[in-house]
Amino acid sequence: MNKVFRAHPLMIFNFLKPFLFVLLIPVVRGLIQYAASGEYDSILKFEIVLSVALFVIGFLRWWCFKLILNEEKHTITVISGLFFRRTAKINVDRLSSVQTKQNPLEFIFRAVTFRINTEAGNIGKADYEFKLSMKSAKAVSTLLYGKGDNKKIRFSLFKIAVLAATTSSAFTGILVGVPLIYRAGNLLEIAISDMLINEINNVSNKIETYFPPVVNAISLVFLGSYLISFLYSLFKYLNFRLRLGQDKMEIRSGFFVRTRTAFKKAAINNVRIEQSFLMLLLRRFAMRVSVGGYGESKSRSEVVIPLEKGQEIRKHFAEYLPFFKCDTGVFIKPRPTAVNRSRFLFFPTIYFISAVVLTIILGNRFDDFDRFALFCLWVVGTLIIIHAWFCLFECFKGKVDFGENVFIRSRKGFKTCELYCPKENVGEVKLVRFPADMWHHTCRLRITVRSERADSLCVRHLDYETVKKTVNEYFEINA
Amino acid sequence: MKENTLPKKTTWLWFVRVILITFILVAICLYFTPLFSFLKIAAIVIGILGIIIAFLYLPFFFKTYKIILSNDAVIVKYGIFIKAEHIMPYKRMIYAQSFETPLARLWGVAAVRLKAARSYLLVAEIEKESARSIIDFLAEGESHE
Repeated sequence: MNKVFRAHPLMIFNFLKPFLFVLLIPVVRGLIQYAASGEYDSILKFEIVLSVALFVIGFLRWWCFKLILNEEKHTITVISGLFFRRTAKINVDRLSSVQTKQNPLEFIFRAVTFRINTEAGNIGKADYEFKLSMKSAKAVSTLLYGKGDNKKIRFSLFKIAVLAATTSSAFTGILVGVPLIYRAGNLLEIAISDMLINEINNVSNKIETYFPPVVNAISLVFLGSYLISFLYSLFKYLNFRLRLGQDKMEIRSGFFVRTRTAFKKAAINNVRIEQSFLMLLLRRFAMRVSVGGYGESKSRSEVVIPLEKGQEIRKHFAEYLPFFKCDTGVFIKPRPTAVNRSRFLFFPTIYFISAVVLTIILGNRFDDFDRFALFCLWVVGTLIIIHAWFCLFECFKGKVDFGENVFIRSRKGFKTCELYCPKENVGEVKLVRFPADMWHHTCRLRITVRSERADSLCVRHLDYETVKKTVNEYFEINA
Repeated sequence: MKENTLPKKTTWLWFVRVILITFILVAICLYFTPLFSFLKIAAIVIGILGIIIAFLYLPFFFKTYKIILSNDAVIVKYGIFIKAEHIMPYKRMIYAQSFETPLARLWGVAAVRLKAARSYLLVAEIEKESARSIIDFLAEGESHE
């Protein structure tokens, strides 16, 4: 039985969006001017005709759009286009994920942006994106993935805040904040950026520490940027909810812009259990899944559990995604010799010595900047110590298991990571040997998942012969 | 194994398309000839090329075009000077999409694009009904397996 859904009328304005600044706003401005003074530019008539024509085309494009769902045949048909008509028929089993997004304007008009993602989509772009009414979107999702008796899981604000804190960075804050301040200043015709700089200067001069005022200023800028990034992430993850069906998962989040992503468990490429430095201090973990996508196709990474204790997260993992478990118990670990273990601290030691030497040189060369150089050493030194801790984690806890699924545990930058991936989803297994590895008969093993995101993880200093033999046996390679 | 050739309508459709494009290009070149005299030669070259393509190349090219629906894959064969064979296994295919231009709609034909994760396979215009049945076969086949 076919069920036909039409797009929400807000989609007409979506079609007109590219012409908003070049055509529609000048027309509105011209009309206001005409109403106020009775005068109009000679071009206004042409602009009005063009705007009406564009609106009519937008209306007809909206009218032509149809989404047809066939429950019996399990297919979804999307018909779009006025002059160039496109008809696509997709089997529901081939969908990677279905995503709905709702911004405040859409909330007022009871509409959502509906995205259909398959593995054949372009990078960073949904296969189909259109507006549906909230009622239709709900009906489509129910028809696609079934209503079922979904288990709803909510997470506390604290857990969401920690997730936001771990996914925030001062750099993101600068990227988000600077254009915002610049545009707000232009719009209000107030030099907000100058005011901010003056304020930062004043505050940093007032704080008296061993370090010079510039250190205070830099710290303030970074803290402010981090705060902006944190708030941005917090509003993104607020209302985070997980709905679990037998075959599907649904993730909802967002405060101003509400996002809802649904996907089949079968579309998951790999599962990652991660622990950032902040989570490490709180002794908590987060679980993410990577959904859909091969080669140049569409792929998403979704947080499934934002924050949970180690035992709890493993319990949830076994409960939600039991087919990803890897329990052979035969692990390949870094060689437990003292020499091999010390190799994990080789780079942190080099970094630390270099930082100290550089600070001494800079302190002696530029007398006025010695305290600033000391501050830099303090920051860099802290980062190196954290890095060293993660290297030690890789040394003592890092391991690989080639069982029914592939399991690999190691560090990735400044976080620990466990990656679970089915055998058929392994894209690349790379064995790299540096001169030191050849000397010690070891190698680095990197496993990359076959997906657009190409999640990968590397364990260093494993016994070369053992790894080579296991990989050849596991992937049935005659080398 | 089903083997399909393209309908004559496709050849006519492409004939009209090529003639139209040639006519537009020649007209543009001739319009600007008073400004740039070399455009007269360009107009002649484009005109001759257009006629050769429309009257000679297209009929032979579309005669070589074959669409084979085997048990495991869609195979498209074409080419006069360079022979090409494009194979897309059903397992690799994500979905199929038909595409109609206003001119194709007049003739009652539609092109089909078979989308896979890394690439796509374009089948030139076939009868609308055939296009629909291919799309249905590919989209519904999976659920009937």
